[in-house]
Amino acid sequence: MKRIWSLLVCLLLFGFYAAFGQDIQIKGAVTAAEDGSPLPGVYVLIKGTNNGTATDAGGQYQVTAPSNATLVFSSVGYKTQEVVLAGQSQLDVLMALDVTEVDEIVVTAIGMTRAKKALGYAIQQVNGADISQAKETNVINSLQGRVAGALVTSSSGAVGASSRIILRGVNFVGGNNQPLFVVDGVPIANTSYGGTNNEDVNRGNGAGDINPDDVESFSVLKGPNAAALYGSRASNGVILITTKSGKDRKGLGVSFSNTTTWERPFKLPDFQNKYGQGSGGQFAFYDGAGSGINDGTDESWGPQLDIGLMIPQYNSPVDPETGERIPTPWVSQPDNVKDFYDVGRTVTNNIAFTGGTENMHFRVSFTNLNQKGMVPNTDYRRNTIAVSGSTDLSKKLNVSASFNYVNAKSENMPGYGYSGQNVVQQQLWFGRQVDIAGLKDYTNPELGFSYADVPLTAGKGIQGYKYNWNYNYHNNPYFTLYENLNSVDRERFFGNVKVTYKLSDWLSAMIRTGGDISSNLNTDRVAQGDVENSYGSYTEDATVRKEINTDFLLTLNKSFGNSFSVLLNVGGNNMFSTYQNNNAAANELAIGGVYNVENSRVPLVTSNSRSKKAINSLYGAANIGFKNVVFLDATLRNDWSSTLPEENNSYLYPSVSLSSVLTDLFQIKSKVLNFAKVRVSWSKVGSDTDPFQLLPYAEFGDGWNASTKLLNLYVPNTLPNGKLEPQMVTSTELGGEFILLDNRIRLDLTYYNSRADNQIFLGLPISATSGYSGMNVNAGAMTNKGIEIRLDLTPVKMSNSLRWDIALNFARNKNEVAELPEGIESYQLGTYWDMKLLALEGEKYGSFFGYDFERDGQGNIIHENGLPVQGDLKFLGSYTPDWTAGLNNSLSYKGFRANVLIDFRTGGELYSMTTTWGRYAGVLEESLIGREGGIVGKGVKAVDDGSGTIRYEPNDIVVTAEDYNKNAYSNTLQSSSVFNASFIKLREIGIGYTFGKIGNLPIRELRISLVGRNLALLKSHVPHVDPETAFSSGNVQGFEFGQLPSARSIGFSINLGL
Amino acid sequence: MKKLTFKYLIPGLILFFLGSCTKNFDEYNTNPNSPGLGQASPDMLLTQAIESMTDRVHEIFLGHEMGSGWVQHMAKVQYTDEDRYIPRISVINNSWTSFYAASGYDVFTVIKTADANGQDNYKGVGLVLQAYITSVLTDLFGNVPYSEAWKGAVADGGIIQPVYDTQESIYPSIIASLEEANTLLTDAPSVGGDILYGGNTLSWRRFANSLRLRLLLRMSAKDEPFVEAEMTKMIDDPDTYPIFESSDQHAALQYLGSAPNNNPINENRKTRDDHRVSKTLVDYIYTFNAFVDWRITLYASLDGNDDYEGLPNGLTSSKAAAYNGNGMKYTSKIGSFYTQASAPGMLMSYAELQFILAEAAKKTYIAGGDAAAEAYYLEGIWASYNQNHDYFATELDDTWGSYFLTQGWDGNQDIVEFAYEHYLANGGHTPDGGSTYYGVGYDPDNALKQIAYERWVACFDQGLQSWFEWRRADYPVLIPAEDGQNDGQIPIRVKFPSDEASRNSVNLNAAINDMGGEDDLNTPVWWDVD
Repeated sequence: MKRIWSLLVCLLLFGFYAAFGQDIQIKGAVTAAEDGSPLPGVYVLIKGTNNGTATDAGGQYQVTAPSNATLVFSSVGYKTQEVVLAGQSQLDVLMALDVTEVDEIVVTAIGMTRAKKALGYAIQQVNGADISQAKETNVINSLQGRVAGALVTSSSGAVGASSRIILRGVNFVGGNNQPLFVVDGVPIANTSYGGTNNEDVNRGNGAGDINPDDVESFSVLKGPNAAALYGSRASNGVILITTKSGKDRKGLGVSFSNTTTWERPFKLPDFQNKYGQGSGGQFAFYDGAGSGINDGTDESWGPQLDIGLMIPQYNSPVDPETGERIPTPWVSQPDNVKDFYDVGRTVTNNIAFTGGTENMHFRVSFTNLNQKGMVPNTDYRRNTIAVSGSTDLSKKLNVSASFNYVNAKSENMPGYGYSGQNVVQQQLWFGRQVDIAGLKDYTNPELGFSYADVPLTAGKGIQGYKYNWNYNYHNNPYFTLYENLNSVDRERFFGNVKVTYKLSDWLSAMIRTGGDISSNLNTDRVAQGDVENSYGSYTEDATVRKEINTDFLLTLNKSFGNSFSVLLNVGGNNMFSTYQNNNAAANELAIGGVYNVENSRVPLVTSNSRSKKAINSLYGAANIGFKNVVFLDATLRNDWSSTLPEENNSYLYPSVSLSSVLTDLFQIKSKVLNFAKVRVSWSKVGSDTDPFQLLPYAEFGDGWNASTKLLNLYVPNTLPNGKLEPQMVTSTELGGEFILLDNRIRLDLTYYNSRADNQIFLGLPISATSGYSGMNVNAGAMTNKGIEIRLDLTPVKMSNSLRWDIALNFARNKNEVAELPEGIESYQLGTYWDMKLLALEGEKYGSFFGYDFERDGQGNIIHENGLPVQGDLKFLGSYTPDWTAGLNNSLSYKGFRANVLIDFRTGGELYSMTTTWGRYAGVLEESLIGREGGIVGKGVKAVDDGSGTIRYEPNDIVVTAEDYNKNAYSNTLQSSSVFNASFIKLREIGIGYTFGKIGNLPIRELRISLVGRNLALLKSHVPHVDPETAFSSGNVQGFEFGQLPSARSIGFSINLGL
Repeated sequence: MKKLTFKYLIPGLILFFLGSCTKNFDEYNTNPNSPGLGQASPDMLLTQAIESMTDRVHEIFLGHEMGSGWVQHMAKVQYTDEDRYIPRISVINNSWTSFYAASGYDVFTVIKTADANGQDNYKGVGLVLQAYITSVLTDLFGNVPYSEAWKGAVADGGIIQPVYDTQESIYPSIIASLEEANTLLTDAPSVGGDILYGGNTLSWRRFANSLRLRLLLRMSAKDEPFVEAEMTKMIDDPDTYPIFESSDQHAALQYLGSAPNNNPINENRKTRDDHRVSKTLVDYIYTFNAFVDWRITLYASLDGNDDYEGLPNGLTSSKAAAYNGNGMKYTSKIGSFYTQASAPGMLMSYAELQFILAEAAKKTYIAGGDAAAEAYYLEGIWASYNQNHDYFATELDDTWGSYFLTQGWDGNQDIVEFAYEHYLANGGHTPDGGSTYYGVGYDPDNALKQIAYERWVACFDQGLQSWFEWRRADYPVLIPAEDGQNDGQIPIRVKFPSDEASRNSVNLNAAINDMGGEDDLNTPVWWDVD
């Protein structure tokens, strides 16, 4: 650190030296061009330096600058102006209104920066500045509510958890549906780092490694139309990330930022606090494994709390004479779950150096993120070094490069799902009277109590029991968190080198090579004494991935006469990727506490997997502009993929788009209609599959017996297919952009319609009686139709720089599994207990299919002996929402800026087993209903009138609350725990102030902000949990159990620019 | 110079690209992780097939809950759905998929490869396993795909929606394939990868013929002349048709001492404590009798009262938890023999064979009449006592050693032998629910009941076969679960897997119609005649 500071000082000195010159005094007035009113608060900066001033209330300024300097005048809402001094001492400036939205330059496919008005498809840019205040550890979350048509789902509030992003709905029934991430022109992997099952450890996703501090902008190419040039992997759209480069300023600069936030659980279940552990109202602890009265039962149907009962409990003292526990007061612990969570803390520090001259620029940045989870003893750390630079070696030759090194590390990430390794699980299977603080010392030998009293069952007890409130099913949660550690250590390197040569002023050539190389080591420890594996275990999983992209591009940019401008690109790309995974597991440890796979008392279980894949491509793109008012774009790309059979591995696909600026075409100059543009486009994008899907192989089983090492092979359950073809997404898009009332209303409308055909199903379910339970096949189709609306309003824009902006985005997507392969009515994406998640023909993707209650003709639930009866399997909803929206209000006044972001989601369902098991176990608030006096289930009962005909009469049979809940909420009945997942969330509030020049301090900018993320759930229909949840970022969404609570985070950020 | 370089570089690159567009693709897409299917030799596939099949037969939800639970050897004390005749849909799907696509298809591949290579020994072993798997499938469901099964690969016909065959046609088919197996394995070289019999083809012939007798008896109500002819042919020619001659020769997979090669019950009990021995079994062999059937010692553990107490089948979870004051504590868990990691996974026991022969003799399918039936019957009981001799001896000594000394045991006689003799002399049967008392000794007038009852006791821990046999023999008397669904009846069949409804619906519906139109738990299969 010391070294960095001395470097900083040197750079600073150098910067000041460079800025030195012969100074003169300049003064003048700044006025608005439209009405001549004086403009206060306009920054006046000497270009290439940090020096400058701002206009006073009367629009006057005064500054000292070298006689040949360039002055830069800037103010929010006005176009920035640069004026070169020619020795004059008086300089008055007229500021024109900024209509940058019209002239906006956006980054498009293959890194081309183009005027947005010339594009024939929708593209949405999000600036790094917008997301840098309230930094999210996973940068994908920053896009929540900001991009029309983007559905972002963050898995949980666990440290380092993954997030999923889907643009314009899912395309592929059984394939990847997330967009391609491209950083500085080169694709990077967004794979899952582990944790794709219903119970596991979520270790994040590839795009989550991107450091928000290094992001200049996101360009979201939502449809295949915009993305056609990226080929195979762009079928789901592309998120282009441009990293900061230092090119926007000359001289040297240093910036420093710190963001510190504190996290608390956003939503915890509502627990009952009237009844404690047990069953049938009875409980007494003896050994926690069934020897007392209902001890070992991890449910709260026990005796009433807080009425003066004295009952032996896990932490009751033991009478040394009798060896029996002395009863202690049976009292409620209303905060036992809340108090379990710590205050999480996330600190991000960034320091960046930038510099540049006419011919070169560079940026070096170091970021340290340090996160302490809300779940005790969980953490996440990420160090990122980003270096980028560009230099003109000659007038024609430019070389640029960017490199990013990321080290993401965690000593412990929590387990999720229905697993003893998920500490939240036991909050739902719980004794509500349990004093959780008493468990913290899990090594407690439990004074006077002998483990020998506990009957040892098979597999248990070689290390004796750990101190716990119950000795069946659960570990002491602190034992799980402090002993069963799940670590991650990932090193990742991505970047590229690019050489551009100008063959003439209208023709240039580029060659670039870039890579994304990562090595990821996951380890999982289970300590001896664990309830699920008393011997403990240790697993190491090491993955090395490489993807190298090499491409060339020839660009012709020429105008013909006054009418035609032509931009022609011809390029080629070679993608080569390799994957290697080694996994070794010691499933029982020989010696406790030694975590090495060789320390195994049973045969090691190992696996080893490698693969290679290549895609070669050639493409061309022509952009023809006519008089700068009509634009025609066309692209053509051919891919050759190594994963498809020889006869089908080459595939060609085109796109075409047309747009016209109507206001220019018809020469409309109106104060009401400032700008109008219409666009239409059509495209096709083909894509391939994973390696090794064509030929039959045998797989290695777990092996039989270490000593004889009998190899056991088996035939995998998926029937390969040597005739696979590429799958195709065809998409049409119509849109319009309008600017009204002096730039105060900006509207962008898009309608799209896409169809993904000839889908590649890997393991399409077929009757197992064929010998295979799935087959690889091309079939089926999915359609997505929708509209996207982006409306930006500026209700207030005053000459004193007060400005109020409203940004509303709205997207309605109608997804339909239009066609499944013949004879197949559904395709299973996943299951959770008896609930199936399916693609059902004619329904939205991600349909829930499970048991409903048995019902009579009127839909009343039928009861038998007072208990509801299981009925038929039914369609119970879908996880896919109908529409999403985001509303951002921002207010700025001089240096002050505040924003409030609200996120909406409507439609879609969630299957919440927190409700199922929480009611089954009697811990949730609703389980209090009928505890005294019982429950008469709402519905009917069958009555046989003696003649054999059955009539249904209102149910009037009283059953206990315990019986009722256990029948109505269980794994054999799904419909009772399917909830509407719509929500409205207060996603973000940020309040900041930017100081310009502060006295004589060498400060270019100082911004201080207060930030809050995920502040409130304004509306939700799901009880007990945050409706936005997932186990992982794959296609299996909409299931929930024992949710690791998402985080409400509040903090501040400081940005200092020198 | 520089200009020249760039001028030719780009066209050059394009040409290079075009020329090498698919270079190395074959290498990239050749799987280095797994051998091609052609490289998988039968011995390598055999190991996994045997393990997978045995695991599934003894899978907790299938063998231990639907099998042992419904035949009232075991009961559930928590999460009692299965015990109340609400099986898990996923378990049925998984079992079906496992028998067809996992072990079944591995066995199919063994047979196919062996056939192509002229390896009679592997083909013979494959046919035995295929017959076993097929019989379990048809006994669970009724009509199932067989003649068109396992033919999904293009080379095998590309049939991905096979027709369902009637049980009536399947039984003669698998009996014929067991004949073929017996022939192929005669004088055949030993096989590799054989974790059941260490490669001994004579042992496989014994298994093939014993299994064939089981299947013949099971279909006997439908075609007595055929069964009689087949059985007589086999029993009269033991050189051609060797069968199990002792428990050393039975078909049981000896599990190894640790995961993943451990016994499924052992694996289950590491984290679960949901099962107890059924009250029916404990009542019949312990509570109702003046003298104990000493196998209780092996089958059940002492409960919290240091006694044997069974749990009634099919209580609601809360009733089960409250049973006997504390269901978890005051009911017996399964005996510790069965929770060992290395406990055997029984596929067919010598004891069961003796009861098959006893019934066949009594019904005159084979010669010998009552005298032969009695001999087989007594040998069956002795085989059951003797099956896990050493473990049983230790348990008996620990629990009853001092008591036996008061009953005439001299302390030197083999304690298992003493227990068997004591049971024979003093024990009794009350399998009608406690009302009628029969002695253990063979009684020609009640022989079929005695045989059925003793088979039911002897086949403890063989849930599926015990349940199948109970469905055929309708004996001993079992009272349906107290809080059972299914119209208050013990299931006599398993519903077809829901997966089939979406993957092979036309053939599935044809099968359901053929079986009477209802896909439920109460439709008898073909051989199940009341």
